[in-house]
Amino acid sequence: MIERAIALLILTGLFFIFTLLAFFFRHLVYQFLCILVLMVLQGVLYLYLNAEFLGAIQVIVYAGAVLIMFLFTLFLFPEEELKHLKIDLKNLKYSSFLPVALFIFLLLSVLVKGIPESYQPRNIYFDLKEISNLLFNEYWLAIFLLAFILSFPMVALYVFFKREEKSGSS
Amino acid sequence: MALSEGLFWAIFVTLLKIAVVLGIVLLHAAYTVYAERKIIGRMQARLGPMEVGPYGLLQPIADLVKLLFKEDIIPQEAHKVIFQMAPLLVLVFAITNLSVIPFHPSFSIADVNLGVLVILAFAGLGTYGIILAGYSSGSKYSLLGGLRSAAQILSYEIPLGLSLAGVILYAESFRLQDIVASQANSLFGMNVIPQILGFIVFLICAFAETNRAPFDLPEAESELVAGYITEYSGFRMGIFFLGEYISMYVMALLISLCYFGGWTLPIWLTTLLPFIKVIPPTLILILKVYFFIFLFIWVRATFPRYRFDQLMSISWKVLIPLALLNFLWIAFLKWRMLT
Repeated sequence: MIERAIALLILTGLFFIFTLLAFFFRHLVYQFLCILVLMVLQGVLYLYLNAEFLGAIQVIVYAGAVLIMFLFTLFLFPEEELKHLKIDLKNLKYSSFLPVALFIFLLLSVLVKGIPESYQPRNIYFDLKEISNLLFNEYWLAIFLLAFILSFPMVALYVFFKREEKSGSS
Repeated sequence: MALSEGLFWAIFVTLLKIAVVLGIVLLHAAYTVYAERKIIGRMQARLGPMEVGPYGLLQPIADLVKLLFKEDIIPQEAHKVIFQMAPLLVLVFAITNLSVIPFHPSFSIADVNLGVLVILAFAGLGTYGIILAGYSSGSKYSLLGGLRSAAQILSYEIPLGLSLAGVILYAESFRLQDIVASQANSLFGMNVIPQILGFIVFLICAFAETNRAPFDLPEAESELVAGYITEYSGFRMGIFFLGEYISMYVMALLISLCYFGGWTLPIWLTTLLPFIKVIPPTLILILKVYFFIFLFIWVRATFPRYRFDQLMSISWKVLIPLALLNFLWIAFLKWRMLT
């Protein structure tokens, strides 16, 4: 069982490294490649959790089809616009405050509460059903908050397009 | 101690299987180039390679040596890391596909339950090699080749998957061994008889997915010099060709396993010709694969290249509706068989 725990640790480390790289690369295509690796790693994670079908579908649909369309769009831009991306650090500071604060809050709450005794670590590491049981029963508030945060970009996109529409008509 | 010995043997056997499969496939890929040049030569009323060795038989080895010793040029405008990585992506994903393909009822590197899906997944990832090669070369021709490749592979993956859905529905399994077994036990003996429509769609998509003629638009000489491989030379160009030929073998194996009964022969055929029962199962599979490799070469020598708009129309307007029709037909057939 220790091998699987080590594998999980390596997988988590890779997720962390490629997420950071996706932020720090200044070239859009390199950022895209990091996201591609993350998508494949997600498929590997599903495999690890014995959800083989989900893993294969993740790679076929997201890594194999959706991301190719992203890449296709990137290639339509001139090379000069793809490299030397400028990040607006002032805006990033404000916009990242809420997710970072929530992440710290969730981490602290997990640390304070701990994993319930009824859950054996063996089951939690290796069984998708056990993980979902744990997440949705014991950490329902965290999941609810995450779902709430994930709805932000959708609302933001809607507002953005409405604004564009208005400016376009005027 | 016993556990570690068991693990050691499992790893040793797997490595041995990989070595056998790789050795056979790489040799086949090299000599397929020779066969292609010879066959196309004959079709065009010329001899093909004749200089190196008797009947030009050592030509692939001479080509390999030439490619290995040529200078590896990296253009100044290229993205070095991606440029160097792209050919490897093509080769690695083409070779990885071989790991889930069974060559005999009891011989495959990995016996995966979702064999068909794994092949589709790796085929999808392999296209990144072509697209990134096109982008990283820093040339307009290469970029256009990469763009064409992205559009082509995206369009043809859908009918390919849909035609395979009929096979999966008929066999009630994603496992390639089960798909072969279901054909052997069926009335027809081969999926190609009840699913002729699905087979035609799959065959056309196999040509498009491997960038073979008449769908070799990403490397169309008359328009794009050599498309995404324009800036490549030496062994990196060789790796692209090796990847293409291995993909051809993967597709030929997949067609043989999913539509032509793999290593089995239909009962009606063995009743008609009882003496063919003595042919070993692996030889049956190899003969079927050779036929499809010959078909790939034959089509290249015969058909002119499509225009890009024609290529897109064939996929979206013809192949996808046909694949859906085939799927509905198989659903009906399955329903009739179950009730």
